[in-house]
Amino acid sequence: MLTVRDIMTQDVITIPPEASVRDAMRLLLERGVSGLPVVAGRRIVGVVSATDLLDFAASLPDLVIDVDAPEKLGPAEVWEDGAEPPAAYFSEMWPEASAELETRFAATEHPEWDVLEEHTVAEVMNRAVCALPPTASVPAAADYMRRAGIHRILVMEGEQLLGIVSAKDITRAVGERRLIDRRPVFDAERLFDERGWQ
Amino acid sequence: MLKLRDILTPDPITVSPEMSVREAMELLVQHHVSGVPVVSGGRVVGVVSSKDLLALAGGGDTEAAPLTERVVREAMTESIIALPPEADVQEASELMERAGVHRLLVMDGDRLVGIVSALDVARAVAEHRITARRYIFNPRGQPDERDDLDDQRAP
Repeated sequence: MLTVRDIMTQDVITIPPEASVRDAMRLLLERGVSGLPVVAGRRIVGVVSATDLLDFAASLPDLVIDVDAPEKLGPAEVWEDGAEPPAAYFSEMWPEASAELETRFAATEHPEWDVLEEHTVAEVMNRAVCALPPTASVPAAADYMRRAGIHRILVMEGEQLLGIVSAKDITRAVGERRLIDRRPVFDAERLFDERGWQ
Repeated sequence: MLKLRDILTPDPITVSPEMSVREAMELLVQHHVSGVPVVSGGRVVGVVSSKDLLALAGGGDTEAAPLTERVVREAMTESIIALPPEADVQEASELMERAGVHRLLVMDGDRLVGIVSALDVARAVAEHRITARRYIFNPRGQPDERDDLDDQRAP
């Protein structure tokens, strides 16, 4: 059975939580990846994807408060330096944002006004980390992606990050015909059990 | 053989080349998609991905207009990678890999039928709908350990 270890990308590009949003954008685009594990010290604290960054960029000029998501409007949480940022941190910031952000966003020649530099990966990352052990089968990883609606899964052994497996890696394995359905030809009973008579 | 028509997303969300970059960003995020076809006058003129939009947003172009005034046409890729609905999923996956793309347009001539992404292929794998069949001529043994038969393939 093909496992995630067989198809994963081993040299994972990571980013620290205190890196700026612009650094994350640059890294994603330069390295041609669609998501980055966020690593503090040796610990994985989240994942940041192209969609997370796009969501951030799209929210800059004027935030539209989504009334269907009341959790976004909950009481502010205190983020002490060094502590993990509360999930609501990012969305809590923007109701106060004024229209001048539009101008600030465009005026990148003054670093102090550059919102992409001002905000960090910790604010935009997704803290829910989806991980599987290296021995998980490729169909199991694909099933995880389908159920969670995600494009990539971290491959971890305990606390150690071994690699990352994306929908693109699975597509590559399909293209290379590496997903093999081995079946004994003389065992009619098993064929019947699996597929039924056709 | 599993065909693209079996796994495609029909009637995909599309954008026009004149749509603002900001609107396109919101649309991609809202629909949880990483790329959309760009359609003008019923014709597909390109594809725009989240990375194309990010490149424009994060480009640091100091003379640039705000994102509400910039349009999809500036960010999109004009080359279209498409296959017909009857194309085989494994061949399509090969093409995606070769072309370095995450999605293919499924087109019947000039008509956009749907879109197939890497996630759609993964979904089919999860459902055990894609496998290259190999027949093991050792029904009573333990076929998974017979690596010497790896290259034996049924005609």
